[in-house]
Amino acid sequence: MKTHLPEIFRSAKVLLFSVVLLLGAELSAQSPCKDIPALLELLEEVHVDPRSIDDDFSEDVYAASLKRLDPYGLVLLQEDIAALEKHKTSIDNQILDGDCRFFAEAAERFEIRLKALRILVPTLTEANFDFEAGGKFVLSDPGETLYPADSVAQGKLWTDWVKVSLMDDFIDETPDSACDLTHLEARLPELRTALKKRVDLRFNRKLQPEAGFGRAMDHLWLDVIAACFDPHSRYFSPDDREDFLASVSAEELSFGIRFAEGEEGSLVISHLVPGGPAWTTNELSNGDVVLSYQFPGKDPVKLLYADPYEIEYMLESSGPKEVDLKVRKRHGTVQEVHLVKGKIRADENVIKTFLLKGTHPVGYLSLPGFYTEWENDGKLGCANDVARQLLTLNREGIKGLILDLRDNGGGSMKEAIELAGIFVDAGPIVVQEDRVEGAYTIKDPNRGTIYNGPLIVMVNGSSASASEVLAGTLQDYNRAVIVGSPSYGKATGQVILPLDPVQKNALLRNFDDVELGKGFVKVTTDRLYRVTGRSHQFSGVIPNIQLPGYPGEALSRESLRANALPPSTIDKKVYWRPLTPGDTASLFGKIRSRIRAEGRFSKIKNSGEQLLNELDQDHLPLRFSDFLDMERREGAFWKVWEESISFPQDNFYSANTQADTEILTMDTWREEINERLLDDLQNDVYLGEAYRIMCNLIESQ
Amino acid sequence: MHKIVLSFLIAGICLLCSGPQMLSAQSFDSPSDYLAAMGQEHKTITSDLWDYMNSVARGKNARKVEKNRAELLNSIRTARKKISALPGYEGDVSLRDGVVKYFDISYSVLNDDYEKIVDMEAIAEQSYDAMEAYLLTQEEANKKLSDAGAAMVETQAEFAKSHNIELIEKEDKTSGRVLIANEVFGYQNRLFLIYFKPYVQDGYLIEALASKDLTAIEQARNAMITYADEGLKVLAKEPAYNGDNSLKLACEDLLQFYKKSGRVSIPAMTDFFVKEEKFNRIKSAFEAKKQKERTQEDVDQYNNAINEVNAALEVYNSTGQETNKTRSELLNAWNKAVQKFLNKHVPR
Repeated sequence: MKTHLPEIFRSAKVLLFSVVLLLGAELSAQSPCKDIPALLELLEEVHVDPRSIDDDFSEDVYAASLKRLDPYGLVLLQEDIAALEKHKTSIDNQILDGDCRFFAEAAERFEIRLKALRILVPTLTEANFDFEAGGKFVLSDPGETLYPADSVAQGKLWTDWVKVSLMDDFIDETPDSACDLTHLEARLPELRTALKKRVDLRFNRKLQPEAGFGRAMDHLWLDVIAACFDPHSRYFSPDDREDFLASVSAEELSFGIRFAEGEEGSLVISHLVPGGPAWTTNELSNGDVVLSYQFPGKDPVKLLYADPYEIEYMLESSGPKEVDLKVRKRHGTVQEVHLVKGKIRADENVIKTFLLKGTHPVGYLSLPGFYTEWENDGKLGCANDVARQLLTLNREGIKGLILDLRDNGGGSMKEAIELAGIFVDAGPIVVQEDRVEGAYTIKDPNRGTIYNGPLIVMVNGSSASASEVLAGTLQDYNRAVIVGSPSYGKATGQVILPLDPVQKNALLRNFDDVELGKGFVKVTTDRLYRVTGRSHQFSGVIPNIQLPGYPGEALSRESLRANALPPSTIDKKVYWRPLTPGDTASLFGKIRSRIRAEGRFSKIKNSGEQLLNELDQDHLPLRFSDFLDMERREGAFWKVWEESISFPQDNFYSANTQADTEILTMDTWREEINERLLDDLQNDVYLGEAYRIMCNLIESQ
Repeated sequence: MHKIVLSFLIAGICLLCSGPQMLSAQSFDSPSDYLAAMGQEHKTITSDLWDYMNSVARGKNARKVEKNRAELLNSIRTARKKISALPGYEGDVSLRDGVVKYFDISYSVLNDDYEKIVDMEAIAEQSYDAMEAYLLTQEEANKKLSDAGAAMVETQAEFAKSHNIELIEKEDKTSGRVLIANEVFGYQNRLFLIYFKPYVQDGYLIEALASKDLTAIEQARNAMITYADEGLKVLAKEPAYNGDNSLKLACEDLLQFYKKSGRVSIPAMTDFFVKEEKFNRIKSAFEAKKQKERTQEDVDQYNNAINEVNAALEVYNSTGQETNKTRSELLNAWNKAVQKFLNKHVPR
């Protein structure tokens, strides 16, 4: 059966293993904090809002370190915390004195506990479990972590963890009709073996990482310190970079997908190669958590604590040409995606374009991400492909255009600016402020527009950063009507700098130029402001027509992240000439009334809220029947919610452009994907609404 | 090459001239002597200005034009120096300072030294691109200059009034020629500015085509059409100059060219990029199939795509050549028309 894990348990799983991800073997002899002064110096110099190294900073580093090491209190004990707590307000002094007591002690205690758990947890998989006995598996929230009093309490915690994992694995892999105690008992031996194997593998690998435990911990501290400046400032070790740079050859077959370790140690998609198979499916986005993969005819392999680079290597270098990935989208839904390896074709247009036919012909362009995450000079970005698609769509005689930026997590600002320029005649696009140059206006590089008709931009809570700049600019110019839920709320820009002071002065925006060595730092150097002088930091771009977002969207916002930079405004004269809005107030009023009257979205809102309530629990039941009930109940809520957002839309039908139709006849895999994409669009209630609003816009002209 | 002959030095021409008099840091016997001393400086400048205008109007070679410009700049500099060394008249320095300020601004404008008189940073902030910044700078500089000119004339009138001098506007031959030349150059400049905007976009288009930057191509193309349309409307309201329609016609030809290029020629060329991309996609799909899996239909489609992209390439090349040819013919025609126009209307 398809299981729908409660949100809490999902994060719990991530947590259970996130612990393991960060660790390694013996402590290195070298000082763990030797690179910290260079890091702080760099941050002081270029960070947009550097902080003083004082007691507050010390407390933040302390809290962030524990959260990173052991967010759910599964590894450390109360006595460890008691011992570490004495450093709470003196880490700043230690850093300045070149003394690393806190980091050394934390690493040492952590390693000791892990080694003990490496012996203990595999034995627990052999324990006798009474699946009819009640009880709760209670998890503390990260940040308010409760640590076990002693190793006995910790053993109990892990025993419960093993029990829950066995039940969850069973339900996950068993058809609904066979989900009962008898079948569970029967399958227990193989479930135990599989779990033990997984646990062994992970503990061993994580206690002996390639870089060595000491080195891995050093890198962790550097990252923790950077993130105390703001959540987007990060440290990457030289090893990270090598993987990051490994490019996919145009000749080899590839899935075109990169992974990274997520916030809590999960395996997340960090990059989709534009035009690659993963990108083409339109079902994956940066930030999606990959839960498992399955090769044809094989069992699914869970990825909850996997090493990103190992998985990447495994998927790309060998194995079958097809794979099914199970991913959890940022907003919580779990999705299965079928991928077929293909050549990454750089010359190919990767923007997905469709026609929506109904009362009026409308073009649909979907941009799930930007091509580049960093600024690259000289390369033509996605704006060039959007331009080409607009040529095609203009020839089809479209009367309106819908640009879909939902789940677009951002990327190169240059691309966002060029894209905005396509729709804005001339003028400023965004104001950037850094400490070196102050505030400066970035303008549309090209005068003129490519498309002048009615425009709708779709966003949601996962539209972040550069995509917010694009949506915000088009809104400020009255050029587009923004439809959806408020965007993520990140209005900062980052650059990559080498940590090595020798190379530090070269301000680089391109990985390719960074020498290895001490690794590199992603630093938040800029604040971004809209042409109005306001920033979308925290607030996000507020759509003109608001629709309820996915459940949990409100819980995953920039404003809720530790050490996020607070929003600010800028007092700079920006000369921009917005289009005359016309009588939008009354039109928008009518549209909102219509949406209310039709009731589709109040249904989505209600079912989303019910789902969230259901998921919002502080424990998991330990009795199998209760656990199964919980899963089924949640499954039912997910189903209600999914049915509220996905059903055939009757106000338009989705179709290919003439140019695409010709090409698709030759490419069977693409044709399959195409059929599914058309089907997805046809069943997308948000798109149905966007089309309805577009018709209102066209008719009001 | 287009050179805008600036029209500002005209403002002071009506300075009263009551006979030659050497300037020195002496005290003047009468206020009219004081006024006349300044007028004398102006006379020299007017004469140099005429030489400069004349050399441009007669299509003299660049070296000659440049030499005249340098002489003019030199006279302004010398005059400024002399006048600023003068004492005030009975303590009143307003006339002296007004004239100096005017000379300073004239000098900067004539020397393309805009940052001295215009806040270039504010201009950069307010304008969306280099073209707009250029136009805005010219506009601001000319405004500064004519304000300073007007202020100077006013100060002079006040000076005369307070000292009971009656100003008589006495136009000598040179200043009369300068005034007419100024009108002729002004007309030419107005027409130039009408086609300047689409001309700039056309330049961007050539660059964008070379780098296959479709975003830039399409945006510049649309901007070019808009400006050409706007230009045609403005041009329609512009009368012939003393019955001479030649510049109007040359300007109209250029505007029609930009319009046609934007509407017809460039789309024919960008069609190649679209076909090329389509071909590449078909090619990849075709090559991804093993030979034995390819159907006759696939082969036909592949061949059709090759033919299509080749045909589009031919159109691209021939349209590009034709457009380049027409462009240079029309720009040549404009330049010739300008030369003829100036030669005819600037007095000898």
